[in-house]
Amino acid sequence: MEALTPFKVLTKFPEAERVTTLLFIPNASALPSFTPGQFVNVYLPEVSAEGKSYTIASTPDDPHLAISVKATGKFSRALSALNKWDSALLSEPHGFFYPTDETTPRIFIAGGIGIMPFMSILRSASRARPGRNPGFEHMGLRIMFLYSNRSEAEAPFLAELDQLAAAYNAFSVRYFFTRASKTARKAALRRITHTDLKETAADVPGCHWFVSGSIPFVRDMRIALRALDIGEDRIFTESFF
Amino acid sequence: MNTRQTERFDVAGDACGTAWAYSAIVKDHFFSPRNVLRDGEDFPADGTGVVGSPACGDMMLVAIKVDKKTERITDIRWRTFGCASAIASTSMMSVMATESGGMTLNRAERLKPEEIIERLGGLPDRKFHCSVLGHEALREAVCSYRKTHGGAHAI
Repeated sequence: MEALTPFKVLTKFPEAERVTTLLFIPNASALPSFTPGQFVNVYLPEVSAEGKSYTIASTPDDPHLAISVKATGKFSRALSALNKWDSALLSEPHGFFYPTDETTPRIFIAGGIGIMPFMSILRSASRARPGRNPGFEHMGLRIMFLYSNRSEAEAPFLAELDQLAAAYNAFSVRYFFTRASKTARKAALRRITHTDLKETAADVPGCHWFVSGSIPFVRDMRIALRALDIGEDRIFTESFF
Repeated sequence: MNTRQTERFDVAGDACGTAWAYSAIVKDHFFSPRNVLRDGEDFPADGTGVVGSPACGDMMLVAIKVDKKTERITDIRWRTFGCASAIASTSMMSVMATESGGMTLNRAERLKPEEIIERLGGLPDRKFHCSVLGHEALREAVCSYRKTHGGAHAI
């Protein structure tokens, strides 16, 4: 059994349909250090002996540790239902889904709640300090984000992404809504296709591709990228299960 | 689950999803796993990774030997307390890591569960986390090696 630290809920708020963000603070220890893109394993002993992995949505500079939960099953519903000062056990941060190179352009592809690793990465980039943690203003590299959801109502963080795209020339976002007939923002009302990836590859040559989402989503995106002769060494994946 | 279902499928259908028949490759790697760290075997590793799965309680240890000049994985051993999918996945991972002269550490850091599952001929989605175990343990083993021997992260 891994080492676990007790945390309490500081506050919670809705992000989108069935998606709740919870801010946690440790009971009696310092916040763990982590790299944006990593996750923690969350345990609710009164609900299940098994833990579930949740990507950290906050940045290393935040005074809390945030996770955003989509209520799809027994555990996630119980986690979403926690109230202020309720407890949970959290592991140390884990995972390797983050850029390790500050000069290569990046394409982020997220399906639904798969956006979570990217929110920590993008938030860190937008709050960067020169000389310490290069961000949008200082990296000089491009980040393009392809974000697919069923509908605007179900898609968390749309307003925040719009703000980032408006604030930073280096960052651009394309929305895809698969079950919407009309949307308030400019979007493609369909799934991400092979053609979208091909055009993106041509637009941002030599980039690293980061894909996060459900197992079938990530599998399909990787197959499509490999069909475009994108090497495995340029593809990073994080499947949510 | 009826007898006819058990005769045709390896993974039960019931409430967990559709029933699944393991590929011949998965069965081969389960019944004849490669590169297992046997009891009493001496394997002085250059890097070791141990991970556990919060989803099922399985544990995985991966140990690697590395050619320090070429930074290629020359040998690997693993041991798990886990299911058939975890055993088959990590056995396949160990083959992928050491075939054709061995993966470079940079390449090993880019090895993905999806690649392992593809080589196995597929696994049911609810067994995906089993491939993650071996992949994460390999990543931890590479990290362990880099911490003691230096070297940059993969790009």
